Amino acid sequence: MDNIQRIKKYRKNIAEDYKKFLLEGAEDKNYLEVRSLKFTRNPRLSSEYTDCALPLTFDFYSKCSMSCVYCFGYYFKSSNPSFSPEVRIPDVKKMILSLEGKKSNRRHDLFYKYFYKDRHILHWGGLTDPFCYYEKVNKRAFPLIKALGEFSYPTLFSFKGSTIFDDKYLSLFEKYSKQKNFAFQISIVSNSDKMARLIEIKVPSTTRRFEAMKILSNMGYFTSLRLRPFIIGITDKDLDILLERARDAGARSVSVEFFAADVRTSRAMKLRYKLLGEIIGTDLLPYFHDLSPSERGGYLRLNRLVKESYVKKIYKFCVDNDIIFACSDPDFKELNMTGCCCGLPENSEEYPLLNNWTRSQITWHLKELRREYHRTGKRGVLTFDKVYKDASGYFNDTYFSDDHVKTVGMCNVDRKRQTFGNMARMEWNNFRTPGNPRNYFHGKLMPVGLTAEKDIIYKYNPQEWEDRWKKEGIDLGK
Amino acid sequence: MKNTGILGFVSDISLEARKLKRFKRIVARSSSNIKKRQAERGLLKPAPLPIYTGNLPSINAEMLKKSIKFIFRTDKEFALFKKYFYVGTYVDQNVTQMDLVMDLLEKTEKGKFVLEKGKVFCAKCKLKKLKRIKSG
Repeated sequence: MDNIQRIKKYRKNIAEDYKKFLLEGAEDKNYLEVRSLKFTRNPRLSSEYTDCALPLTFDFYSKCSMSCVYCFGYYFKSSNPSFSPEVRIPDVKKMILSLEGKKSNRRHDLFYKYFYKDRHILHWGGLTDPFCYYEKVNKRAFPLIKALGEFSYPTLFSFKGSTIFDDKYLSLFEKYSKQKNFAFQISIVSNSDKMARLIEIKVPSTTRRFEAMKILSNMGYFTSLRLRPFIIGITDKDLDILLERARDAGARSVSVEFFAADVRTSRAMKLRYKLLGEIIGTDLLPYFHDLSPSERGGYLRLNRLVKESYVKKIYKFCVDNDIIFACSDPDFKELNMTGCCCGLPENSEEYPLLNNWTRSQITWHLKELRREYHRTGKRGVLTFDKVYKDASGYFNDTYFSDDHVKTVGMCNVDRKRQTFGNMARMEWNNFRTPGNPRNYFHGKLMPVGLTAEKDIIYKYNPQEWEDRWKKEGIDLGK
Repeated sequence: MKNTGILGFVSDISLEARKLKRFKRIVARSSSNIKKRQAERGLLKPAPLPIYTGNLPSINAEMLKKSIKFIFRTDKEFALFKKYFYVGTYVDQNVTQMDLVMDLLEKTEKGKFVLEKGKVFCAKCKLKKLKRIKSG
């Protein structure tokens, strides 16, 4: 069997497998209809809050109708034994009440207290697409989008689905366009429609997604190219053209993060890795295993040297075209031109509502350290209290302990006592965890001592690639 | 990377640049994905981080930050507490507040309160609720 035949075979198997996943807990004929009366616990707190500017994350449908081969959301849900097979949605009425500041239930009241009251940006589209076919069939998210528009509540949509093209949604976004409270991050990982069709099953083409970006940019909204995941062997092909198309469609920022492979693969994920391996030219897991630092644990993210040339190309493009460069990858995260790795602006006068994301996280501080070093030559330090001193109240509230993925497996008494702050501190001080700053950024921040409170102090560590880029005339002080 | 002391770790300047140069030469000669991946695996492996040899946060400091501990005055108090709560780690508590906890547990023993799943119910109300459920 040759390469093309294998690719077709794997793709067909993946599509059949995914259809079974969608059919679980649903009626065969109308499997996209939402029938469950149970609600999801959305919105929720992001488990990546230590370096994330948008901890308030939200998904409407518990499943996504699109089957992207690289999808982290699918990996997460298919490996989770407590994931419910029937499609569920959040309690929209209670959420709208709490957005207005009216009494709802305890969870929503706390979200009001820690986020809605301060109009903190809601990130919609963490694990499932807001505009996939579930929304096309059910339209259950529409009242919530309308409410967000009426309250002019800042919301970032990360999507690739085509339901946004429906007149109902376009008219709604057109109606609220002057408020500029909405921002859109469109996921595109290949310039080629043909390649996109291979790895993104039941997803609109790259061309169609650029059309969506253009329409929303023309309305005046902040749009961003979400180059995530950047798959070496796929996304790098015609990368220049892809970036130019994004610029021409009005993208104000580019957010990049490289594809990562997890060693804890299920049968379904192995099939996906086989397909990707056929396309990129190697067995995926051994390739990732050989090239990923062991300090980062089982979620294999390759290393800086492998990624460098691609990041350089994107960064230079952004500098030359006055586009915000954002990097959600732990490698080169220091190059962010904004403290929000989804690419939202820092102090925009044109989009003031989109400035409201948290600075109490590592991405912001790492970017500031890089700037300081390249502007003044000083190597700054980070302490735990410096990074998280202004963290929102949720950081120290035990109510949210169940939202944190690391409390799974803890005994009840320990779990109920945990806070996001406790767990962030434990990671900060423990060199054995992949999430420790030294390990996660693989040497960009290095430990140099202890504070009086016995927390590790990290110092900015300039690396060799920075000297090389400066010699090539690339401005690293942006 | 070279360890230049506790304040800095400087990467080996020539090695990374040489690796990249060689990799780019191989890639320029062939655009095949297979060749590129082979070259990456051969040349671009990550170097391990140097080991940190400075002071570490003490185990006690970690325990103090995350542990909480009750102080009981007598073994009898501790035994009563252990009967209703899973004994893990608890915070140093003011003894007057301990009085309230012990008072609650003693009343539970006497049947005035019902302790269930960490919540306290008045025994009479709970009984009424149970009766209502039974009668439908």
